[in-house]
Amino acid sequence: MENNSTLSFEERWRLKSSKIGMIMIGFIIVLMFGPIIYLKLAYGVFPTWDVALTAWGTIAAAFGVYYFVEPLSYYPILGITGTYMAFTAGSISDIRMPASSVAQETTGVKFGSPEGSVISTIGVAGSLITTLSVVFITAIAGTSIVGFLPDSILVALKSYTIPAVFGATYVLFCKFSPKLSFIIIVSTVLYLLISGVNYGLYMIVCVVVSVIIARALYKKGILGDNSSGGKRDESSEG
Amino acid sequence: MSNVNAIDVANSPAIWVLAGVCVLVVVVQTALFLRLAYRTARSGEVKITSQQCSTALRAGIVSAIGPALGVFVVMIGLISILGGPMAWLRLSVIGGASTELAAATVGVEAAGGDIMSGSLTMEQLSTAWWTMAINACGWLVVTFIFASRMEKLRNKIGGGDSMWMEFFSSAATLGIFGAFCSEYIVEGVKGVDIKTILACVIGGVAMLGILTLAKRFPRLKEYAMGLAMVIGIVVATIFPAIS
Repeated sequence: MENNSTLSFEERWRLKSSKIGMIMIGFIIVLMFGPIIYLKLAYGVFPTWDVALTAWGTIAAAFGVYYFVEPLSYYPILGITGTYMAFTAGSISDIRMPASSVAQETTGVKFGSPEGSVISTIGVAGSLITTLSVVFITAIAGTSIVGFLPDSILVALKSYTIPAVFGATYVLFCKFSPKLSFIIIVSTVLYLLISGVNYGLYMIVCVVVSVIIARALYKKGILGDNSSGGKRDESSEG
Repeated sequence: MSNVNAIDVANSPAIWVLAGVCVLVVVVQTALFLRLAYRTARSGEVKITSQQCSTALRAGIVSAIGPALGVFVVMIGLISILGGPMAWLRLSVIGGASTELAAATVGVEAAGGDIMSGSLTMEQLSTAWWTMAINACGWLVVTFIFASRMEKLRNKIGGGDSMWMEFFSSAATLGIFGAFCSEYIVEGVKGVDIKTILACVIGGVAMLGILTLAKRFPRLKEYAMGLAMVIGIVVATIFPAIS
């Protein structure tokens, strides 16, 4: 609204955030190699370059698509600050995205609005406090803690945490527009059943197709009407 | 070199310090973004109360507890292979636990070793570390280059229509999580793995129930993610007992 006199909120937020993010990520990229350089300097150990490049090539072939797909796909919810934090800290789908959405849902701000950006930032930062603490404690004392836990609990945590979180996150977004959510889950399941293709491009196709469906429905006025009603009767994955 | 024990080097104080410096940058970045958000909220540029700020912070902290325990489990495995400090560094920076395990395996194998053998040579250790670091760089470099541009693009897509912006954000997210859930659902439909689809569906149903209850007890929303997760895991675990 007040665009001309100064920069818009979106623009100021973008500039401030990217200044922090780019400086910090720059540091991290360099510092990450510290231990490897230390091995070379102190012990003279580093793989020969053909081994190093082979390993790089292999791992990039496996994950290279994700380098691009993930930042793009998660961006709409995480926003700029969330993206910087999520992609330095990882665990994006299972921790950062749920944290961002729960924070926005709990405070009742609009997803994608300026308020949403600020609240999402706080939510993601909160989740990082937890992760960094847990990971730190585990690094120090992990091996001794694990002895206290029965195997059955470890197995259950390992196998079912992620599917349970994914299902819960999906439903969290359903209530915003049950109609759209229902259409999307049906189309992604059908797509996967028919194509049989797993992963890689599958994810970005689902994102793009969902946005296109949403746009089409929105233009026809099918979506706009029931958004304020907050009906959530149509359960999703039934 | 042959008389140096790789795992002892991997757990040496120097490596702890080097890993610590890197993790510290992640901590500083988090603090800076948190400060930016709180300042923006206080400045009155956006309509957010300090009450909402603390609610959001609590929600973020609590919702991460459950999944962080899952990270804990995988991390134990990484510690025994790569040493404490490197596991700490790797799971603090782009810490997809399974991704790191894959990268470590590729590295060790490229250096002619076997990660399950239990003891690595120095060169295998170095190659494993190198592979994990260079792999993480992929995401970091893309984020470094594109994050700011994507924000511009997003503002353009939104075009000032805040209602469409909300639909756009939700549709993209539904697309991703729809893709993830579909995998479990398809596996379940094909009869490959019933318990995983159960964890996924029950997680969703539990969330629905909690959100409905939260109309009466608003505080419940903050714990929704953790509660739904626990319910999903428990039901999936005890399933054969009741069928």
